[in-house]
Amino acid sequence: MAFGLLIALLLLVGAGALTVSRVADAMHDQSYRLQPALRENMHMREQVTRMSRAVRTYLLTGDTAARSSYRQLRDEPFATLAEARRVAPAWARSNLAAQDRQLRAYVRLADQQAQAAPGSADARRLTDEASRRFTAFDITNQRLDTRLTSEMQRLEDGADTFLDGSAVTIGVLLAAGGALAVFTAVRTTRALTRPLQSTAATLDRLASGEHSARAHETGPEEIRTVARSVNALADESDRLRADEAERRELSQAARETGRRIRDRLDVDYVLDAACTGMSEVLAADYVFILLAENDGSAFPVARVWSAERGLLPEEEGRNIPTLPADVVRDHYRRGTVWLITDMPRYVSDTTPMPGAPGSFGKTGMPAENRAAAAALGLDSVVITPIGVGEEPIGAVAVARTSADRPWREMDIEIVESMASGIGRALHTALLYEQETTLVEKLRALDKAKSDFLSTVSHELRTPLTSIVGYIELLKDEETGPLTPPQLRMLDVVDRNANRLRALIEDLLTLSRIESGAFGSKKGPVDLCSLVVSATDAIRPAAAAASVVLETHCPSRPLVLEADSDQLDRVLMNLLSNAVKFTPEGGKVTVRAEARDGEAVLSVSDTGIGIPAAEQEKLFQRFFRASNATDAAIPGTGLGLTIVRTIVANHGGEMYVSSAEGRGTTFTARLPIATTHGAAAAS
Amino acid sequence: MARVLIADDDPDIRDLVAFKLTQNGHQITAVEDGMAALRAAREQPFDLVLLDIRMPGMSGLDVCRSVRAAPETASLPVILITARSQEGDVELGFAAGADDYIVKPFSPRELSSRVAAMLSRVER
Repeated sequence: MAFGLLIALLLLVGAGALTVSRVADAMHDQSYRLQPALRENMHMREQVTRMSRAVRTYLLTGDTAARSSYRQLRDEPFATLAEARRVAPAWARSNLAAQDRQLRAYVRLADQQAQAAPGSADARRLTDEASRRFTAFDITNQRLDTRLTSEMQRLEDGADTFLDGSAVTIGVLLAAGGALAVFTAVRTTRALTRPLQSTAATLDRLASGEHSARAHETGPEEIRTVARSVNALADESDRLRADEAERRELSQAARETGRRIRDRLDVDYVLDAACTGMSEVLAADYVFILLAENDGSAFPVARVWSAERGLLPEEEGRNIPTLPADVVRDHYRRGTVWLITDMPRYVSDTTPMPGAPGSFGKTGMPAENRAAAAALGLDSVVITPIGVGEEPIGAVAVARTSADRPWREMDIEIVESMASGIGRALHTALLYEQETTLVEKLRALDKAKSDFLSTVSHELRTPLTSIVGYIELLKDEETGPLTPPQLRMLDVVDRNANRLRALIEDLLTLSRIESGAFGSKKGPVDLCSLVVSATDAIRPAAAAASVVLETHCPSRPLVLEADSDQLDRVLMNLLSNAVKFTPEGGKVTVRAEARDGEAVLSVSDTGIGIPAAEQEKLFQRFFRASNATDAAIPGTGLGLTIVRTIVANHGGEMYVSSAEGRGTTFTARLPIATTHGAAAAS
Repeated sequence: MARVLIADDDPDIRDLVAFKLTQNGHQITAVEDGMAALRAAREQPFDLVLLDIRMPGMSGLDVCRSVRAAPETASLPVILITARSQEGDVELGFAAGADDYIVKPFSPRELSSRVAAMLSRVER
């Protein structure tokens, strides 16, 4: 509008200027038109003056040439007068008429002068008369001259004044136009920039996190549109943020529930926690958890939670018709979340459910499922199968009964993530339950084994006591003297009874060691002091066999993290073997040392040795070297097995090097206890 | 000469012990279970009791505890006979109040020397 005004003003000023210039031109024109009249008037006076001078010259001098000149001139003023009358303005007509009369009066006298004799009295009277007539004409002529001149001046002045006035007006108008233009520009700038700046500032505030900021919808329509768009964007962003906040809240609650569910490895606890957790987080009206039975051939309802009653008794849950196994399995394989938002549509009759897994998708829900859904008033249901690996272990279903609160996408995401957590927790709990059962079974089995062993040990030892005892009584001849053959035979019985006893002892020891029954007795043990006590114990036997016994031990203790009874057993087995297989005059050397961060214990003898081909079988149960059995040297074939098992239990290794007929060296490498006293042994 | 009570459910062992200790000049009373042993220990004076740990009904450990609990038999020397050499049994035996133990299978010579050692310790 201001622009329109401005343009109108400018047009007006232009038109004004044009008009002024036209008017001024016209005024000038009028002034110019007076000029010919003035010129003719003056011309006429000159002609009359010249004519008068000619006639007077004739009368003074009698020069006829002057009279002729007069006669030539006398008509000229009338032509000029006629011309003057033509060009003069109307108001000059009366003056010109007066001039005409006066001129004619004069010319009549001048004609008479030209007739008169020069220098005559008549001539003088005529000259006098003519002079008066001329003066009358001249005065009238002069008056017109003055009038015309002043009129011209007036017109010129008027035009100038008009022009000056117009210039001032136009200047004022232009100034007003300029002011209006400035005002309009300022107003326009304000109208455009203020709302734009405000909108821009709103955007800045929004960007800097002031989410409540909104643009003012002011200013021109276009800017209002921009502001409206900005506000719409801010509203949308508010909505998204609110969604996001809700989603975060739900996720947080879901995570906390997930943590609670994982608190304990108990299937019932997991089911209860999952039901209550899901109902809390999702504001569900029902939560169902189905759990596979009989290797997944059925998925009965294991838990039900209802908003009205909380957790329902287990039997009540089991009576709720469940999903057929094929539906759960198909659903699990698809890896989808199954959402039913219009449950009532499918409960009245058997309508196939589009997109539903398994038989539901083809034939719809069976009658009992429909009846149950209708009875519970389910409206929208989300069903997620749960499991780890190939087969589902169950399914989680959450339901709402009100059509006003259908499950939203956000809820479904939460259901999915919670169900996956519940699946893992249930899987772990189920595994743990199985493992626990297995461990309990194994414990029972282990106890039965121990009981069996102790029974066997008792039952075998008791008859052995009688056998060995009575043989001793007989051999001591406490019941009378014996013949030499009887004594030899009793020796055989005695030897075999003792062999049986050793076998039983070794077997029991081996099974106890293998079952780890000795494992808990480990502590710091000085290998050197064990070596000393073991050699002391074997010394009588060595002396009896005429075998020299040598020990080499470092002065400092060689501390191992070990079971001292077991290590003693190792030493005794190795030493008794060495003495047993070394002929008279031989030597047995025991050496303990620290080497490469390990304790190395070796027992060497100068005995019969072990055939090279048999060395690898040496540590097997009941294996005995052929040269030992050939020489009828007694043994159970279990001693070295016991040795190797004990050494292995201590994280060590056994080595043997032997040459038949020259001797054998058994070496045990064992980890040395660290400064903290902990063994590297497994 | 000492009066020795032997309780073992295995008659062969009872006879073995009885024979060897009789040879050593002791007077032997042999019974086949814990109840009989406890009854005998209450009714007759003994210098030493040999108790097999594993017996039907009342075990040797139970008998030992009862013997120690009754004032008249509280100081009666008791040697337990065990078929197990695990330390657990030995500890249980000493906890029940036994003075010594002997592990099956034992030789009769070992038995008589243990008995002699125990009797001489009591006499002193």
